[in-house]
Amino acid sequence: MTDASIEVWRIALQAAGSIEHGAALAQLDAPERARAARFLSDEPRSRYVQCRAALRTLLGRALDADPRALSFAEGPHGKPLLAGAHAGALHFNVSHSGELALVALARAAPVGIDIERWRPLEEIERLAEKVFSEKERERWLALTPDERQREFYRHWTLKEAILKACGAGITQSLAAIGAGDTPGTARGPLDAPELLRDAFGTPLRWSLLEIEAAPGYCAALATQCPGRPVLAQRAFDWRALSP
Amino acid sequence: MNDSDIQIAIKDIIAQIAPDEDLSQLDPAVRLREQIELDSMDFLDIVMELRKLYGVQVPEADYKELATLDGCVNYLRPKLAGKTLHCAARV
Repeated sequence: MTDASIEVWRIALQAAGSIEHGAALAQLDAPERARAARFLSDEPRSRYVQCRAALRTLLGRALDADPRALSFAEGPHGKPLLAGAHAGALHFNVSHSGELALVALARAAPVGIDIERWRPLEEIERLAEKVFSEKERERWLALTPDERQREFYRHWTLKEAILKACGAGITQSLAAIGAGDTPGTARGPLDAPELLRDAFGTPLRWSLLEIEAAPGYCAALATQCPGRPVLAQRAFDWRALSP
Repeated sequence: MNDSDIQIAIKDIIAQIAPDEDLSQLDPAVRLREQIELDSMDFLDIVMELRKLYGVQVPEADYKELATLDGCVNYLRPKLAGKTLHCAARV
């Protein structure tokens, strides 16, 4: 893995009980197992265990480390980070929706990734108020109903990816991250006047990439990797779990 | 209206958004997203339902107050004072 490369791993989450739950659970540390135990039903518990086991396996392979020995901490805004011996060695981010999870790995700079399974959204116009800037909303309202659904998810995942790269999560306003206000730039780089400036007020350069994860899903990745990041998409093989 | 009524009203909204979950076992002190599967869009749905049903506006900066059921009750208590709660499903 080179400095400019970003790996995006697609993880096909299995129905509870259909993979060796014990093998996946064995990769987790005590806090993760405790969290798994707090889920009230089997499916979300299993998906959580699978996500963590796959993440540990991928990080372990990239760092040449025992996946079970990795430890994690949270950044100032709650973004999960590597801790202990491997603190700062690799940037990663995880997202899951429905039966798919994505893990992004990068050496050079923080990454944020978001995936959403398409579902019909009722009252999408009201949700749009929370998600779009005023200019974006004007453009969005001019679209057909089908285009509106698609563009809603596309903007949502792009913005969530930026917030996740920053570590801010949804507690920051999605609507504050506006697409370029110049006509014709709706698909261009996003510009967030407040969020995307560093401590000295300099606009941060973001690379935004839309990811073809699977039919029925919308996904995006945000990174501050210098230059043009090289994206490698791969499918996770459950046989890679440590015995 | 007491805290129990508010909790039921919140569970009622969550039950619409996550209909497959058994909410009777929710621990009010533990983060909702650690007990049931709620993604960011589900969470936004909850916020939108609060606005639709009760006219309660929750700014993004306050989302963290809604992380647990107890947090929801504490945050919403003053905002729901004097309002009629919709508690269709006693979950």
